[in-house]
Amino acid sequence: MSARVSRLDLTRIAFWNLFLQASYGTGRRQALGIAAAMASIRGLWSTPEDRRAFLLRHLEPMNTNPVMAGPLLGAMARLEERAAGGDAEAVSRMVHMRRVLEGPLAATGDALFWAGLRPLAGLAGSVIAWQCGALGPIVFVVLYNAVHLPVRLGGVFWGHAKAERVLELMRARWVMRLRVAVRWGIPVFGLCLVALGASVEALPRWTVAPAAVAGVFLGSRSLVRGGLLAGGAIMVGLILSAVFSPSLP
Amino acid sequence: MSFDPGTWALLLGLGLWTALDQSACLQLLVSQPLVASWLAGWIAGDAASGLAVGVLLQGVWSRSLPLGASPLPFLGPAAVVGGALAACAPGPRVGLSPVLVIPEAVPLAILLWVSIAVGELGRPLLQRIYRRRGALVEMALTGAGEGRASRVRLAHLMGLVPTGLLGMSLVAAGLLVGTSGLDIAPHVHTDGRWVALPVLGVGVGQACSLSMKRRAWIWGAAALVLGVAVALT
Repeated sequence: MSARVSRLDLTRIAFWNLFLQASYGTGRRQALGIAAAMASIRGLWSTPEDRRAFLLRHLEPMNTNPVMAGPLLGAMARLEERAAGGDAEAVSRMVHMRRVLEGPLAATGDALFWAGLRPLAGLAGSVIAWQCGALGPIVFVVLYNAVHLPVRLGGVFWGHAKAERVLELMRARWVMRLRVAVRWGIPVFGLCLVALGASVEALPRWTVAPAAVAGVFLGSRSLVRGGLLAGGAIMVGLILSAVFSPSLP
Repeated sequence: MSFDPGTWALLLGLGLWTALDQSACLQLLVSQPLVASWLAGWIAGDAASGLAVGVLLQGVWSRSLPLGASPLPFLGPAAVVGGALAACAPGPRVGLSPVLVIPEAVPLAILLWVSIAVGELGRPLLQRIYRRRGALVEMALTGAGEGRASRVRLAHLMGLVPTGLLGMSLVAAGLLVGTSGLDIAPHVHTDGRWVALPVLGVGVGQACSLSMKRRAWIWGAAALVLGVAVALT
């Protein structure tokens, strides 16, 4: 049996990575998704005992950011390749790498994608939707996935090439640039949306800025959940509408 | 008001897609309100109203992050409900922007509340699904013990079923409750922008607090000055 992981195998891992959280649970977290993806290279192991051990070790609990799982899966595939090729220490190094990296990759991925790129693309899409309609959601999806898909899918190939040096991802130049773009892009697009809201030619335009201040103040202190805060804003808006605009012409 | 069977089927299908897209598979962010509400509005016959509600809801949940094992509100189904109800809300529309329109204040408040309720109700229900994966794990471990990767993958993909069913159920329940609410709501012709603009404001503020945690007051001051200056001109 050839102990090589082909590009087709890596493509299969990347495909299954899109379904990483299909069976997410509080116990084993993403373990079943990891095992389903890694099963693409089960051919590295020829004996039934080795295949059993291979599948069982990838069913151990694991939790990381699903986007950042791509490079980690690629690195794990490389170490499995080495183990199948006769490196006696490769399996223990892979288990250790998985345990050590899942947390930092999760923190980086959550900050970069969920708390960074998603709100940035959301605000940019909203500003465009305000002016151009349907182009807004399209820009939102394209902008997010232009970063998301290369990392999630291409990351498998990159991780396979880097193996245990996969942590270099967190110091990559594009990661730093994306952090800067998020830090400045979110406030800029947010201010654009406030200006657009305040430019509406009707009396309610005066409610936008105070509501934004309330949102940023309560949000930055995590005092109120978004849904509850919006519920309160709806109530205030209803009262104001009853007071100031009893009826439309 | 109600939808015809074809529209129901398409909205339930969109509910299924967005429920799975949020976390279980792909995660292309079709489940985010900006996209899901727009698509739902388009299916229900008024894309501009659906998109306007999507813009409002996008900010509302911008600070909801799936950190650790804590699930998000069920954004996809919630946004589908909001977009579809916006399209079928009674009464005249008022322009929020050159291309976005919204219903009157009372129908808008009802559909936003129903949408937010669907999203928040989905959170504990998703958590319950996450806690009950024991049978799938057993199936996967048995398959791995027999060296059968196909069984591991089958167990894994079966995890999509309860998430998808929950998403479709929430869309159906939200649409039924929402259309009933819109039917019995008092017909008071008030400007919907009184409701829309405060929600837009708090949503934008929430989103911006993500990137300026320690210096959020700077952004707040800038937003206040800019908002007042633009409103004055």
